[in-house]
Amino acid sequence: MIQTSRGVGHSLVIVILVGLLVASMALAVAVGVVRIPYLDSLRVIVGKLIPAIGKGAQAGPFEAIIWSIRMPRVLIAGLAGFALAVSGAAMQGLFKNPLASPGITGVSSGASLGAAIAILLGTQVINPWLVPAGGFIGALTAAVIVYALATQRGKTDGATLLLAGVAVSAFSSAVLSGLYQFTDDVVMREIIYWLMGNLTGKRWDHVATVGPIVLVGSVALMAFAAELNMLAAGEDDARAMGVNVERTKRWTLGLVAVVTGAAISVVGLIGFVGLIVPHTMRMIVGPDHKRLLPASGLLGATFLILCDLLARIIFAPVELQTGVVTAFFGVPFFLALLVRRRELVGWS
Amino acid sequence: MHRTLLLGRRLARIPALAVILSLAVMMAATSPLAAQVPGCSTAGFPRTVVDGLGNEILLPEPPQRIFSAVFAMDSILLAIADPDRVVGVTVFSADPSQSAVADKVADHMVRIEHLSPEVVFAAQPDLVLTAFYSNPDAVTQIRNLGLPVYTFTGFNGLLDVLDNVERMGEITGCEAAASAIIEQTYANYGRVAAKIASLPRPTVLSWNTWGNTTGTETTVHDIIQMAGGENLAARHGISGWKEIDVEAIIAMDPEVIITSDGDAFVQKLLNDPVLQSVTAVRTGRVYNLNHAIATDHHIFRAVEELAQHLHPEAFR
Repeated sequence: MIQTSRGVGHSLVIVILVGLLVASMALAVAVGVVRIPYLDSLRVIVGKLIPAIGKGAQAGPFEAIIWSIRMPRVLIAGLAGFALAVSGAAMQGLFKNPLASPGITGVSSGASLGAAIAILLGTQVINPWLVPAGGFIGALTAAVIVYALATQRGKTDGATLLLAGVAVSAFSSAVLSGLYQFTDDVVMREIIYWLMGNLTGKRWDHVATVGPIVLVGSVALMAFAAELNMLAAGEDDARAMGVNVERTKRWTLGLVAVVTGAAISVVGLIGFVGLIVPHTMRMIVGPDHKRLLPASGLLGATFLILCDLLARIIFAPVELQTGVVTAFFGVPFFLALLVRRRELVGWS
Repeated sequence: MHRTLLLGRRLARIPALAVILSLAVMMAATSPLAAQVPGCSTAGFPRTVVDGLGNEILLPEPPQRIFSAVFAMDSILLAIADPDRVVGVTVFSADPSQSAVADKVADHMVRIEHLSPEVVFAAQPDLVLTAFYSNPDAVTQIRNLGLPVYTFTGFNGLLDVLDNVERMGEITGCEAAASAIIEQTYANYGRVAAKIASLPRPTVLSWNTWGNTTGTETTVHDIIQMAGGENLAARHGISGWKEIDVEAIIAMDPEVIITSDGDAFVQKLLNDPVLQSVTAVRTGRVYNLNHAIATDHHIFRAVEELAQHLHPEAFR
């Protein structure tokens, strides 16, 4: 059922979420293994954003750390978190299933296998972009296979698609485990490192490549919010209300595969964001996808930026894997919310 | 993690090993067992060096702020160059249980576990040492920040270790110190090789706690061959690290079993009722190789260690 907002104005929620996002970005850029006076960080950022002010200012040795190392890393974390959370919210809506995550399209396991093969072939020495390229190709290939398996005579069955997704994921994992038999320890560690999700060394060229795909894809997903709302009433009712159900499924799945595939092929597997964030947001803004999708995206970006910050500083100078932190902090937080506010989850 | 594996695999290089062997025998006769020499100079700089990937790196003068982001390279670097010239190493090097140079890791050195561009950049190095398996994103970022990066690619066996020592000498201007290590390694091995040259080769199987054995194209295979044993896994067509079943061990019936997983694992194998029919277990010839975890030139100590186990009569 479509519910109206619960007391809190929608625009206020968005303003708060944007504020949190900006604050988390500022914090994540200012804090790191290398201590940099906050004023210097601010000076570098302002100087870069508004060149007129930056011209006279002394940049100092911190400029490269702030602008070339931390800034792109924070932006990639934000983009990936945005992509995963929006995609998760859309998948849960499409399948009317609270456990649906972007992974069920097969993208995660496909990306893992594609990236693992690229690592195994040693392509990263030739060009560092070949591993993400392998991941992206793997993600889209798996999504196409899952979609084809679940589609007969132009009709895609939701339950079949979930099962096909599970089967393709299991098969990819089996192939991946088999590949370990043919790799030495160094390469295996590199693959496992990739699988755990990692934001070290992300640069402006990553932002320039992933950014447009994630932003355009996410906006396109949001354009299907009305259709997703009507699908909540069941496929037949939605059809009666004039929704082209098959077209909606095709576009939603395709956009989720592209957006998630682009994000994870660069950052690796980062779990739980697509699950925790939409559910949390559903408790706050309700199940209306027009609100849920953008709100989830904003919270997802904030969440991943903060998790990555924690990964960098908890055991500094040793870095944790970002994916480990999302699970470690995200899951208990989510469970606490769930227990306390079960009635507000919004699934009925 | 089994650090031995960092050295990787590949032997199919019996001819090369034969060269080492003959060289070593020659050197045993000629070379004094030179201890470590100061052996560094500024002669020949500026110079252009070529790393394992074929990248040319111009060194205007001997680098004075070297950041090593590879465990195997930390120890080679610290063995030949003044520790004052090293600004960063991996955390593993400071750990005496896995590092032969822990005493040389000084307070001024930054220690990293993973390659972190921020930490490396903040140390303001004039040369960064990486491996082909280092995080490619991090390496690209470090290079984009204008720091010279030298990538090592040889991790495929005992010969590559010596090649890496030689490269380190070229990078640091410590060619003499590097040559001394290489000569000493040949000389030490020459003494061992001379003692075991004509002795029969006992059959050896390596096994670890994960149930893996090492076939051809592994460092352990090189060690077994050079120590005067026959690697049973290789005879059975195994290449690389492969999991094998206990039944396979009983069927292969090795005369000697080796591991690098510690004495507790040795005791476990000796007391395993299932393995009592295996010759190595029956005769108590199950050994832990203390030096097989080294990833630098100290790995050659494992050859001598194993040779003493295989041919005790030759070392009396």
